[in-house]
Amino acid sequence: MRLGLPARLAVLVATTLAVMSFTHPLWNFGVLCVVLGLAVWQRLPVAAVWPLIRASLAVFVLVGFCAAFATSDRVLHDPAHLQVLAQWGPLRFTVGGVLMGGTFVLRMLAMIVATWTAIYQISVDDVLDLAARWRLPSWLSILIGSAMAALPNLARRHEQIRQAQQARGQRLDSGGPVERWKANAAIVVPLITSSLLTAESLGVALSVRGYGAHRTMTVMHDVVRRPQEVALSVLVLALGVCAVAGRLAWGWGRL
Amino acid sequence: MPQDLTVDSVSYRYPSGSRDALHDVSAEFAAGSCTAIMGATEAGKSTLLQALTGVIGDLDGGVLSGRIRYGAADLADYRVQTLTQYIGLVLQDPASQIIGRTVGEDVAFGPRNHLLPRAEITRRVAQMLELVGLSGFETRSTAELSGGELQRLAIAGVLAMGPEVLCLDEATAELDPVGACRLRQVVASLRQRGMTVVTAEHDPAAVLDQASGIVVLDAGQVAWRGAPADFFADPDCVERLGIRPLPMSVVAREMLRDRPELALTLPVGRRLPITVAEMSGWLRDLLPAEPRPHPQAPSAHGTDRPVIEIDDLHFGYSPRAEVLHGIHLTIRAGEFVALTGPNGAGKTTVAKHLNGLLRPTAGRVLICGRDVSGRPTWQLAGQVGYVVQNPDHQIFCRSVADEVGFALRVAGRPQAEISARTTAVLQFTGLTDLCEANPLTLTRGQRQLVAMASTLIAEPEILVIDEPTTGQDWRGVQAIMDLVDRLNQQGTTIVMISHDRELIAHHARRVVTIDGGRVVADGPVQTQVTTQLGELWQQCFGGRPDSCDEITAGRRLAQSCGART
Repeated sequence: MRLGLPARLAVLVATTLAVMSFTHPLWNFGVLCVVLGLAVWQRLPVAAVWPLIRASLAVFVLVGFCAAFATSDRVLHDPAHLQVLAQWGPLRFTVGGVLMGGTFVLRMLAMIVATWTAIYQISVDDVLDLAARWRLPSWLSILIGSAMAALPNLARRHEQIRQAQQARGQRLDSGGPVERWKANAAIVVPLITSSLLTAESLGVALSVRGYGAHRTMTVMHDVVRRPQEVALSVLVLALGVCAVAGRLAWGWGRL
Repeated sequence: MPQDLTVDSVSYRYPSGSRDALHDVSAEFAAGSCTAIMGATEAGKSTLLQALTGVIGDLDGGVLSGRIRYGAADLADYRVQTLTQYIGLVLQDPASQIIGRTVGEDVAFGPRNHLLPRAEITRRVAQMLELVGLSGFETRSTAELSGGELQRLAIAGVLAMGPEVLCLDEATAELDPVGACRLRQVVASLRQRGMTVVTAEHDPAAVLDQASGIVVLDAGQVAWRGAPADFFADPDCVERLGIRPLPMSVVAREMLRDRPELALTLPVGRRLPITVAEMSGWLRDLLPAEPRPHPQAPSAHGTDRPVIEIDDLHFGYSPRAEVLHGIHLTIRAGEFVALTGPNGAGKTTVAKHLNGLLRPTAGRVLICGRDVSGRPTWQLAGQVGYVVQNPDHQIFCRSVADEVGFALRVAGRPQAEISARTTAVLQFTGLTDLCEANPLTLTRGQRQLVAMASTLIAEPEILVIDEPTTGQDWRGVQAIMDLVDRLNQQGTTIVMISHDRELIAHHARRVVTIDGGRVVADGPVQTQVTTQLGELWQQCFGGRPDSCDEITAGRRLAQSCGART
């Protein structure tokens, strides 16, 4: 069963609440597994999320590494976590630091998967429909609608720019992380420039198609809220709230 | 009922602009007429179209003066969203205006915003899709559409709101001749229904064929206004305003330059012939039956050494969707080859295999005798330069000189060598005066030259250039093609991807046509491309011209018809 946008957003909200509550990597790993399980259950092509994760690998390594060194002893409650694994000058590499690094990485992974699950094959039309039903301010729905309509374009443009820079000798897939990071400047600058131009065109395109003429739009199909979907939305939101309550009241998922 | 659209002394300056994008523009677009807006890049064509639809002033901010009226209504009194029910605007880039996930959703978007009843929207979607030739596409994903289909969908989306005036901003710029022709048929059918059409257009033949009036802008001001035939009969004025002249007018101009007395034989009105029919009618009375004029044949270029060998190339973006089905092609050193064919035929896909941007799923590609498989793109970039369609995909440095020297910097070459070669390339491309300028402040034509210069600095033996005319005005096209011709004369092998028959005929020597992922035709330009000059020759002499150059042809014709005058 493929969930509708409201249910997917409920999953995203619950995931956010859970990962922000839990500081132990095992608990966050559990959240990640649940989100992945929901995506598999909906028969979404989970492999399609890999390019997003691969693009963030350098960030994961950097964040994990920094957290491993920089985690303060004050946030570590278990004395076993204070065990020093290595030390370079003032920098101490502790068990707790490694676990905290793992937590940060798993949080990011869970959020990437949950966000991808929420927006996969969701059309701008669905979002605008929902925004109209929820009576969101028109500027907010224009913002969301514009951003979503721009995404496929942006991905295509990213590939075009990447190929254009490779064609004149830029090495994007070789060298270490630092070289690759630096090489990406040649992609990011044209991408930002063209994104600004695209955003302008999209804003004009929405207006000349009458968007914003009224506070609502004609509803083309009556959204049938399936009871199972409503129940699932309530359940995942309740789980999200439980995660916060459990963390605060009973210390669930605390490192 | 359509009304007249009147522009009265309109000036407009963008919020960040240092000069008026439109200055004291006045024009009238009569109900039911088709008017073309022409001019060089940044002349103000898109700005004027956006002003006509109320976008400027309402959305863009900036300083707008003067009045634009639709019938008796002043557009300044209404929001853009309200005006869309009367005046529709289709933007140049179809991809940036598609909003729906499916074709049906996208067409329905406009009427839904105007709260039309569900049944009426369904009716309009079906009607408009039929009008633009996309019936049956309702449930198809917009991501699967070709460029031509996207453009027709964009028009359907605007028409579904029921406007009485349709403004098209270079809607055919990225379409192949077949796609452009279908789009023009759609516009013709709209005119038959009484719709007013205002179109920014760069193709003079299309303007002559479709438009009843023309407004030419130059630096934001109206430089010419009247009937298209009168405008194109003055090729000097046309060129001065940055617009491509009609080939027959150039032939006629050259004839008169060599033999001014021939002006006395011009048909009534003394206007230069601008179509093949007018030209052949004029020449029929002037030319002797024999001897036939033979414009000078182009000097042969190319050697026997193959630099590109493509052998049974197969490629697919996914295992189930093969787009190239066994391409065989050999290109020799020094050749100037045009790759042509319809949108989505596989031209760019073939070209991207030459420098390793794409890798074959089967078959092989040899560059200068070496298989490209296993060779990284950055290494091949020194041998195969690739100039992409949009220069803005490459530009990111703060100055033109930095941008041009980029390829050598990433290759780790010494600073002295980078400086020397940058200076030489800037000089060769005529960019020396702009070396300290920020590339993003330059015109589109200048940016394309910068992108080319940044490719040429690697001194490639082969230059692949993808659609050099897209988004360029005539001056920009001439500057780029002059550079390409000089490179070819110096021995660089050129592979140019283009739909533009006249451009191909003037510069390439061999034409390879790709369709459906296969090479369907390959031969000398004279046998592969039909130009207006070719049609004239066929009508007057029953054969093909040896050259596609109108200037040479005009001079030869002037010599040939001298005896009868």
